[in-house]
Amino acid sequence: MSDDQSYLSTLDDIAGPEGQPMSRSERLYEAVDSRLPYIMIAPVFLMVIGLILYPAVWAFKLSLYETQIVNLDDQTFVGLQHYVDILTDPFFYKIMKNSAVFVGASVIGQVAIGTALAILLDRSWLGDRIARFFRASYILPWATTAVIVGYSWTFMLNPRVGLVNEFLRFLGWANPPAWINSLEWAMAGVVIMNIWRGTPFSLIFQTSGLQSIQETLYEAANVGGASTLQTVRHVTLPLLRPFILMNLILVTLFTFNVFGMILVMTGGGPLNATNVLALYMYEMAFDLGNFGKASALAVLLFGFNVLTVAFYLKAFGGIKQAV
Amino acid sequence: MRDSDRSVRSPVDRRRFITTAGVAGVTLLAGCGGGDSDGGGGQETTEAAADAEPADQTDTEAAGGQTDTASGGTFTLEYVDVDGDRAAEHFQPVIDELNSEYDTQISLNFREIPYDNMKQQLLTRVGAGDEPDVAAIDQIWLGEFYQSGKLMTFNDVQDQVNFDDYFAGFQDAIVQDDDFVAFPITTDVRGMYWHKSAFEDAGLDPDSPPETWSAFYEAAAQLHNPPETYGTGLIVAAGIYSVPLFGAGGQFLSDDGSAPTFQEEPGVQAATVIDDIHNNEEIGPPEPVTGGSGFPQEFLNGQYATTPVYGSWMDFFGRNEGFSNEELLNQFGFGLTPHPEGSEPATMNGGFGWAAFGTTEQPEIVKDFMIRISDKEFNRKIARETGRIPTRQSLLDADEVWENILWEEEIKGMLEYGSTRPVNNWSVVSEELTPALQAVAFDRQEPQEALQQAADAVSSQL
Repeated sequence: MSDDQSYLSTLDDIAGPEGQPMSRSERLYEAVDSRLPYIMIAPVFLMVIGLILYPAVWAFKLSLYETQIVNLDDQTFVGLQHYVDILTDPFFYKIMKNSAVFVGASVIGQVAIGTALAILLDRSWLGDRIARFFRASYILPWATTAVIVGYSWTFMLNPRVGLVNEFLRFLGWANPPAWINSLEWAMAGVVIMNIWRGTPFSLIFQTSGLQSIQETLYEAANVGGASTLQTVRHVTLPLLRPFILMNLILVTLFTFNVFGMILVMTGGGPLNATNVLALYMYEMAFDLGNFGKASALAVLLFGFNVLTVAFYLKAFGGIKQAV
Repeated sequence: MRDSDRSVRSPVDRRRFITTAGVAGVTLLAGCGGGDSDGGGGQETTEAAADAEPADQTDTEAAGGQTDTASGGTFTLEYVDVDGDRAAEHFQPVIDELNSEYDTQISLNFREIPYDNMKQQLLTRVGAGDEPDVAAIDQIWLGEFYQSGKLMTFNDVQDQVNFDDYFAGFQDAIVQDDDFVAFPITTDVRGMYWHKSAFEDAGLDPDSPPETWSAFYEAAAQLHNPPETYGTGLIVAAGIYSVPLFGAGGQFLSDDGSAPTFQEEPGVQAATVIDDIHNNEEIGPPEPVTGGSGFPQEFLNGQYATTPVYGSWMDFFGRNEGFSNEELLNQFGFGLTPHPEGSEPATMNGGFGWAAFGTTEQPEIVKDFMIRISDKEFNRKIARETGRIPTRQSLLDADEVWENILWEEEIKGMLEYGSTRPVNNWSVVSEELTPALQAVAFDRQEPQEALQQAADAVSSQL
């Protein structure tokens, strides 16, 4: 008797004929088996509660109190006062405007460039070896620590000796921008840095989407005489729709929470030209030590993130349409 | 289809999985249970027996390597400092002394943190109840840490330490509500740096730097050769502004710290210096410098012919850039920041203080450590070996202290004019004042208007 046959025989013995009372071990098995899905997700569920839900609730609770970071035990209940203070402060709206520009430009740049690169590399136009090389190379910015990216771009965008301005001068631009020292160009500088760092994520994400599209659809388009652009427009992009939606959502959430690179690169300056909500929250907590107000900002940031996701879902025609 | 039918086709079926997981779980629980039992009981036993029999070092290390409070146990003193100056070997002899005095086996856990991260890391640790035993704290942060209520006080050892020997500004800085909460370590001064060769090339005497702002503007205009070299450059921030402010006779806050005073006439005069450099005289870079990182390197590499206000730690960056001490002295001048005509020169003293946290598990040992490192002879050693300016007046004439400090005579001269920033509420002042000064530098606001707005914002937070 083979092992498989032996195993079958054993299973049949345990299962027994219908209607016959189950043994103790059989009842235990049934009890566990019927709850198996819950048991399987329980660890993750507990982790979500412990690492996400509990801190979120704790942050909301803290936002209702006046408390300093050096003495978190000393809390005075102030209700919604922090929210009132924040929402009536004109500075908050300057920060929000900066955040909208930073997030908007970064997301458009990352998703558009990432998708374009993914399509370019996926269709074997460059040859498989070159495509693999580029995919591996493009991952580097994403794998680099935010602080190192910030420092690197600080030097790259140095108005006098930075690589970017050296290149622009080489191209004939006599007085290139002062980038992060300039009120007008500082935001562009941090957006460029963020697009450079975030594009690989979109590239990988869209590559996985592209690989889920059946080759037969491209063959059909080819047989039908579709040009390359027509194929991209009528085959690739419609089928990438759910991936683009998820990409937009994730990149927006990531970008809303970016502060380390900006902290290193500009510290929010000059004159708060690059100060965004996440950085403002960090400064409130760690420079001014006002943990209560910083928590209120964190709750507001969370709210904006939720609203953004809702906006995307609506723009893509609801969750069912989108996915 | 029955489950068993599906299972046959899979090498890992549900029944096998559940059985295996159950066996593994029971085994794990048995192991943990035993461990918990032993551990919990063991801990209680250790605590109960602590007075009678100290735990050995292995037990303590397993518990986190911190301390066994029993006499004869072990204690790891955690010391946190900014990187670049002091090092573990400076303090090991003190630890050795303590080991000869106490039954407890004491070791040092010396940790360095970059200056930019130091305050945040320490604040977070204090907030979380995970304070180190001792920390070197920038004096402008002392007020915030004092608010935690966790700083150790040293009123009882004033005579031993001779507090009166410290510079007056530091004596004020380390006292909070009549409590002595820190020991000054070393200080620094802010002054003007210039490239001697640029002075020579422009026909200026590199040994006679401008003393007043008007003379400075004239000299900087002669040195101004953009985009290769700008006549001057300075970081537009509240700390740098302090020197022109003190030079004009102003202060940041009123004596009792309850109201801002930087918006008054001396403050406006000081902010006008920034306005003049960038907008009226146009002797600086087209875009004002608003971030400190990279500025010393830019100055050392010749981007600015002068900088009217920068700290006495420029030599640290110079050596990092490959300059020897001799080259630094030959190529760069350092002296008092220019001042308004008819007024006294000024500088701002910064510096660190040693503070200890009363939450330490060995307060007696930690306080003893603090007393020993604040001793005059230890201060002498630290100043000499780190090349930093001592905070004890009695050490100013000790030649060996100045062995590793560049521009000795100039710095000694500057110390006569030193003032310090407010220790309490400096974060609030800096947070509001820096953007105001940047608004002036970028010609977005007039000095008076910008300072008044900042003062109003500060007032609402004091």
